[in-house]
Amino acid sequence: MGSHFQHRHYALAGALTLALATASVVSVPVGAQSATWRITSGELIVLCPLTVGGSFEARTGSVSGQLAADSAQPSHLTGEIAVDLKTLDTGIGLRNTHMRENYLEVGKGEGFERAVLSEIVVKGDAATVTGATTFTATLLVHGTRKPVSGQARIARTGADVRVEASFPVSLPDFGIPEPRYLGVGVRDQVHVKVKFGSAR
Amino acid sequence: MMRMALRAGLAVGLVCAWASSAAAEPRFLAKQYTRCTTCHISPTGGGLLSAYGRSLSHRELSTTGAPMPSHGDMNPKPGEESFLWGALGESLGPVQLGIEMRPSFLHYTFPGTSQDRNLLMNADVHAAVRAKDWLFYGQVGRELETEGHTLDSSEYWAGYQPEEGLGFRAGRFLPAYGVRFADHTSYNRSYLGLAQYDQVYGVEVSHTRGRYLTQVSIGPGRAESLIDDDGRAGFTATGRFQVDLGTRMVGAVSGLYRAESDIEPRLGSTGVAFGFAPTSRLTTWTQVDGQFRDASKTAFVLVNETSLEVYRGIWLVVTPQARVGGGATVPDLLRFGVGTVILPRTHFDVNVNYYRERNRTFDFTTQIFLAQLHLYL
Repeated sequence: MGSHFQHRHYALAGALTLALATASVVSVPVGAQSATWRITSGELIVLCPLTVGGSFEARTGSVSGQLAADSAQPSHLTGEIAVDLKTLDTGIGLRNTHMRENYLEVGKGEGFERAVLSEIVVKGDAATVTGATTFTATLLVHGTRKPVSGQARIARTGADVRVEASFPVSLPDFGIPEPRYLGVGVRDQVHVKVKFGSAR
Repeated sequence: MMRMALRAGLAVGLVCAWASSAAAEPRFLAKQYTRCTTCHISPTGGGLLSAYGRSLSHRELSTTGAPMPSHGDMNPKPGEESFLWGALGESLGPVQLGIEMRPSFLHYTFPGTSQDRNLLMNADVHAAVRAKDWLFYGQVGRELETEGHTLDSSEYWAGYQPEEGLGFRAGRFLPAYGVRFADHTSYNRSYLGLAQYDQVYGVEVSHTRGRYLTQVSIGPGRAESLIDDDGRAGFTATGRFQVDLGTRMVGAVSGLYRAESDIEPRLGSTGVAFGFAPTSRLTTWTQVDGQFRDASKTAFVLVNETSLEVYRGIWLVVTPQARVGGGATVPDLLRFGVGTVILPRTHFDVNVNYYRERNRTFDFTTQIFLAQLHLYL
């Protein structure tokens, strides 16, 4: 009897363990899928103030990447947002050539031809935060990786998320040469705005 | 009889009035340039081009200009775009020079009469020397008069012009007010006392920071009137405040006060200018001004200039203008202008304009056709 009871006890425990184990195995990918977003559309705008006053914008729609909520650290996002700097356009060729070739040096290849934002930490639960928030991240540009911080606005519609984030970038911090051409230049600090829509 | 006299006076003065000097080009707001000083030495635009302005003209704005070479030198040696095509190399050092000429053809029609004129509207030499933030500027050239022409200098000043913060200049200059269209006969220039020979003697203090630019000037009055002692000179003060609302959107408010002179009453003007470029090929500027001689004689001026780049270096321009009010002696005017500005290559541009102007007070219409070859060497 005791043996029978013991056997049933162990059988129940084993079943529960198996069930829990199965559930946990299944729940991890389900959870990861539900908190992973792929960027479906996006735009990057870099506002460049001129030394002589005024400013110009450089834009590109080549924004891609995938972000996932980190189940262990709810405010963290894994993955990255990448921008093809070869497509960054200021509206006129003279500025494009200078910006891409002389300053961003996109021809140097890996680490230079793309800007990558990763290790993103938002204020709040990354999987659910909505509205205005702040964030920190690591930016790779011009072959240099540095922390940046800024503001973000997040809107959710069902499974879709729209994000507008902005942050300042100090050009000397990333080893970008002082942009100057015949007496006109871009100030040391530019302002980056990235807008993207993502879907699970 | 009065109409006849007025028409005759207009005909005589027309050629002088259409004489043109170095042009500012606010249409380049479409290319995300909100400040005159990007391309011009003078903080109020026009006149001598900066080295950057010359390069931009060559590399970007003219139809056949050479594009920026890959991995180009950021401090290139003087090339095609430079003074005299770079013939003097780097021998000029910190001195910047420009020669400007406008051979033109003018056809105008009044009721019952018309006339053709071929004329050299201006032939000027501009020079500037920059030593760090200190700047010395001068111009000398051929000025058209009612009969013949004279050699004169209409602009010369010295100043401290840093990239940011407080600056000043003193001398003879056109004060900052509204938007300075290349066409100095625009109502917002000619009827506000800001035409091509309306420079003042004075001191201008400026402050620039980020999106904001403030320019304030005071002085004893119109330079030419002071020199000629024609009784029109009166203490003059101007102010202009510009805000860059975006990279292709600018707003500016301006004010001008001119004290009573021996023969002219006290005058005040205030206006708002707004420039907007929805795309990289379209710019529209609008300025509205009120001009006050006394409480009962307020005149209003409205000027719009819309420019569309149909192909690189080829712009179509439309400019409706109006001037109303100001009392019985000041005519109500409506003007509609169309034109094209063609920039085939560095140092050359061709301007062709047609204006139809209706004088509603004296009930007649003027038509003007103007073709100019603008040489900027």
